[in-house]
Amino acid sequence: MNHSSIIRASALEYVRGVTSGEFTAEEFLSETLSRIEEAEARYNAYLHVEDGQKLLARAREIDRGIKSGQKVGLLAGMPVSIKDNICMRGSRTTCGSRMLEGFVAPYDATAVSRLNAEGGIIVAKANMDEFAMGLTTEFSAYGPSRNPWNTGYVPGGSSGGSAVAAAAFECVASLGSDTGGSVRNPASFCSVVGYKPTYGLVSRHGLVSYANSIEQIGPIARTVSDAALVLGVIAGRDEHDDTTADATPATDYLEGIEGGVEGMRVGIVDEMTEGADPEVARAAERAAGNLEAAGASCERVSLDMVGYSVPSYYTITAAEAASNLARYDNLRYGYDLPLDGYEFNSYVAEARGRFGPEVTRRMILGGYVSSAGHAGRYYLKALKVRAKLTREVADAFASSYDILMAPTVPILPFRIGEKTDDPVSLFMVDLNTVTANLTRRPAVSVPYAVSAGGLPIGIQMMADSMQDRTLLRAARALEMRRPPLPEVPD
Amino acid sequence: MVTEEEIESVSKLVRIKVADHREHIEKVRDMINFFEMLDSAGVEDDELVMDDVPVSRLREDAHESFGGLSGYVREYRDGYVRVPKMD
Repeated sequence: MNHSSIIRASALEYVRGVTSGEFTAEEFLSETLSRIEEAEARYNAYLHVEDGQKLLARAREIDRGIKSGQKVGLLAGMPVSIKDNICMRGSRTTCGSRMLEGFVAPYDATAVSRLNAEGGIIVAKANMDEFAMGLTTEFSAYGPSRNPWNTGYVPGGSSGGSAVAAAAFECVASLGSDTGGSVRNPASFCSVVGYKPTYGLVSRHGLVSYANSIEQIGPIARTVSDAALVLGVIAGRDEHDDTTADATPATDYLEGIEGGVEGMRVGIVDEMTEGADPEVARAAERAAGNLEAAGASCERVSLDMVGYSVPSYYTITAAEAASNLARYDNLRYGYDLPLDGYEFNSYVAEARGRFGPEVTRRMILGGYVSSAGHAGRYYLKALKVRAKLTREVADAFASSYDILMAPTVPILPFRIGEKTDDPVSLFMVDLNTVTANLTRRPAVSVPYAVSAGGLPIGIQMMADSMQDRTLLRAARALEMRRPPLPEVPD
Repeated sequence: MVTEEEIESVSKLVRIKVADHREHIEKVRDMINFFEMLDSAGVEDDELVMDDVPVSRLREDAHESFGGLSGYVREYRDGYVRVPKMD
């Protein structure tokens, strides 16, 4: 590694180091900015890096606060990044699309306000699939991010930039958004922790909408405890988002995280492990063995509706996406397309014709599956599958299990360009992750192993609604028991 | 089986100009055909489950200014947003 070792610190190590005077927030940030400058040509994790001088001034302010004994917040000047579909006042927000070219957010997302209030320093906006539609970051209008474990491979998506940034030490932690696995999938592919909270735990205010009934903002970090720290900062009821839960648990998600899995009941989901890549399947078996060695009991469980989760998920999200993206008319910002010579509708159609291929397809899909004459066959049936899947999962948690476990992604990371021409085969990459979104349960991807070919494998754990603490405790136990992981190449 | 004509009709309704027929129409057809797997899920007789959100839970519908439109709209003249003519 040719960059300073301090930026390898976990979030908890950062907080201890900066508050004990081992290093200053300014030193750490300065090293992080140097790392970004050096690494970005290879990884393309970021779409926009904030002004370095302003960031350093903020870090010096934090340092002065620490020296004078003032409260500097839980994050104490920690460099963090956010996916570029999360609004930050005065900063560009493109959602990985040229349709939002020139858009500067006029307000902070609630998650951003909470990061700022706890002393987080947001250094950059992270690359993503256009409007979060994709699972490789190849559909970004600004070029794909690259996997730091092998730059010829996809980093996963849609929060690929966030996962790359955390894995490659371009920040300590990052926020992504998870609609069908968009935090967990890239976390798995890049060997970092990705956490999708219970729906309603984190405010979506200021998250550019894609599929409102499903998506959640979640942290990506290098350790389970780091994800728990960031989750505690951003979680909680928000009057700007009426879907946030009333009875939000206490915000310290680190409390009890070392409690282990003694006596926990873990279900290994058949439908999520059958057909997995052999190396991935073996990793899942070993992970179950690790948990059993730690005192959990593991057994196989079948959830019939998981087999229908992917078409249900894509039908519902396409319908919601088509509705949400109908607002983009190119009048306020967007493509460089003069108004003259167009009738209104033809102008809008011309502008939207410049969306990337995945967004175009999902808008047409959404229009089709929800239209009169087709809604009964597709959209309403997808909602019924969602309801039945939710009942199955609720019954499993109520009667038998604390945790449901499977590989995060059933296959290994693949080469850039390998699957872009086959959207249906890309759909199946989401097989193990969409259930948590459809049923609104919390789920996490924990780095577990690296394949013989040097590619990361993550293990997904899911818990019942609002059992985020239990989930983090189980994830931490797996993290403690897994075999040692190699360092990310550089 | 969904037809290409149906998909082309929907793309017009959602106001998206499709230049590359194979890239979009044919692939959307493949995707919709995949969705037909839902037919075998056995949920025809199931009830839909919907969440009701009481109005009392919603925040006050108050206008919040972000400093006016002028900074956020490209074609802004004399207090008006300029748009293409409507037929």
